[in-house]
Amino acid sequence: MVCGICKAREATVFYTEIVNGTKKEQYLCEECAAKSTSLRIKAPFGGQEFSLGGLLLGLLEHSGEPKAGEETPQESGKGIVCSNCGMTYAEFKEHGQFGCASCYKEFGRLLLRNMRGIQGSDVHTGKRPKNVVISPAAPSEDVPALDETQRLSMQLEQAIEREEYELAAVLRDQIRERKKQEAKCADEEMV
Amino acid sequence: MKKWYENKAEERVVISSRVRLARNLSEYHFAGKMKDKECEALTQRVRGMAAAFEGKEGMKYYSCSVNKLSELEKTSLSEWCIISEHLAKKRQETALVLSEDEGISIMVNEEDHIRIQAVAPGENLEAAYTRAMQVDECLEELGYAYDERYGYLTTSPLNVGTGMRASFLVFLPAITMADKIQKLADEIGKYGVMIHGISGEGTKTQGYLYRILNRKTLGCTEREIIENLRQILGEVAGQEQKYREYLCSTNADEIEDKVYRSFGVLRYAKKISTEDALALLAQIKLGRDMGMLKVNPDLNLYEQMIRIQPANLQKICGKSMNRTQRELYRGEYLNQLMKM
Repeated sequence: MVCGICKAREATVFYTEIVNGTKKEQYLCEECAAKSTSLRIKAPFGGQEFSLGGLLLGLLEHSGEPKAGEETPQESGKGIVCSNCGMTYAEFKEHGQFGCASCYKEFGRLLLRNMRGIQGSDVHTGKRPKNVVISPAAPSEDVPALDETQRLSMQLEQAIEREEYELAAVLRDQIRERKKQEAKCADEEMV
Repeated sequence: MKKWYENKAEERVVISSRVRLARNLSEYHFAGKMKDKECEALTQRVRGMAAAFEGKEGMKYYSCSVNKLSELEKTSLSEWCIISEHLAKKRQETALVLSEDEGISIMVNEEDHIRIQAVAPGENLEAAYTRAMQVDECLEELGYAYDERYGYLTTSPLNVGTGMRASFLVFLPAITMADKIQKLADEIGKYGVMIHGISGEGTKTQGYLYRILNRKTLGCTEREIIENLRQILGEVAGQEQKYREYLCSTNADEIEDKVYRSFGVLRYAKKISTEDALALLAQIKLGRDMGMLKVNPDLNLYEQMIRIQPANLQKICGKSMNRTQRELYRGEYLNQLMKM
């Protein structure tokens, strides 16, 4: 039997995948199985090493599946195309690569759900180019704005970088105050 | 000027520290969608920055079009980890900007427009990071794709944020012999750190060499990534040391026998394959580290592990050779090396 993907090599793997209750079965060759599934055949460390690429594809794969009438086609990613580079969301899901910087905004809402899964976070806290200044307004309509604490933290880092320590102290106190209040609110909700 | 690896013998556990930054320019589409014209413009602009790096670092920088190099040259650069295999295989216009000591290499039009790589010998992530940042600050002028929320925008969402992968190249013979690499991978995975063979993710390792690196790039600062990785490295190095001591106390005779057999083969065998040479040199390194074998103290065994690889060996010999010729020449080369 030949492989269901490349239709050239001998199929040596029978691959079954169950996603949201739908079963998909395929006969694949080793190469295609390694490429297009999260399955690892020749794992170097005796079995369970996972591949980042495989993991990513898996995560993105589940993102576009509409859950029984809950989501609009817009939210499921169908038909979303980046107006700048022409990359479709389906194409992005297939390769796990963006076509241009605008894709991050165009796929914004879909992306946000996945970013936590992929990276464990969705806000950059590290270095920024010198000419970038944190704007006080919300950055974009598609991507939810940073909350006030996140914004203050970023401003604090920038202040420290510029050695503006007085401003940094003010920002630090504001952050502490906000965190205290947030904790209080959370406590009250628990009660 | 000496290359970063030529200064002295490599360290016992940590061979080198490396920082890689992924950057893109906002002006162009990302690599997968780039037109040939854009690739040419991009490579030209980055190569044009070489003078700025020279000014900042006070050392010479060279640049070339990678796609115009011979296969042998490309393979040689990728054996040294100066360029990636991905870059070597690309047909479109690609470029490399390289510092004289080979401590900084900048790949242009790889998966991202710019990949800055800084390497320092031994455990010195700080030095690698500082150099990478210096170059980064020069390149920043070209206009990076940056987003307030997601940070540095990269082709893959796996690199977004800091765009930084920091790593240590480590020599772990005792943990490997004790068959504990998988356990170690599981353990450090909990802290967002990965370990894989030297030729990249999913590859089988050779010569007991592994790379330990951060998995996540978003939501933590560059300093946090470095600090976390350093702590994990401390743990790993400590474990390796313990396992080496354990091996020494229980299996010293066997280890010593293995080390001397390896020495014998390297000193006298006429034909040696790359795979064998890597395994044998790793035994020599273990023997030297454990004080069993006296080897020229200035000999950098990691450097030799690269030199004996197919493309670099042909460069040393100065002519192209088939597999059998290479194995014979490698034998001759290693016989000479072991005459101490």
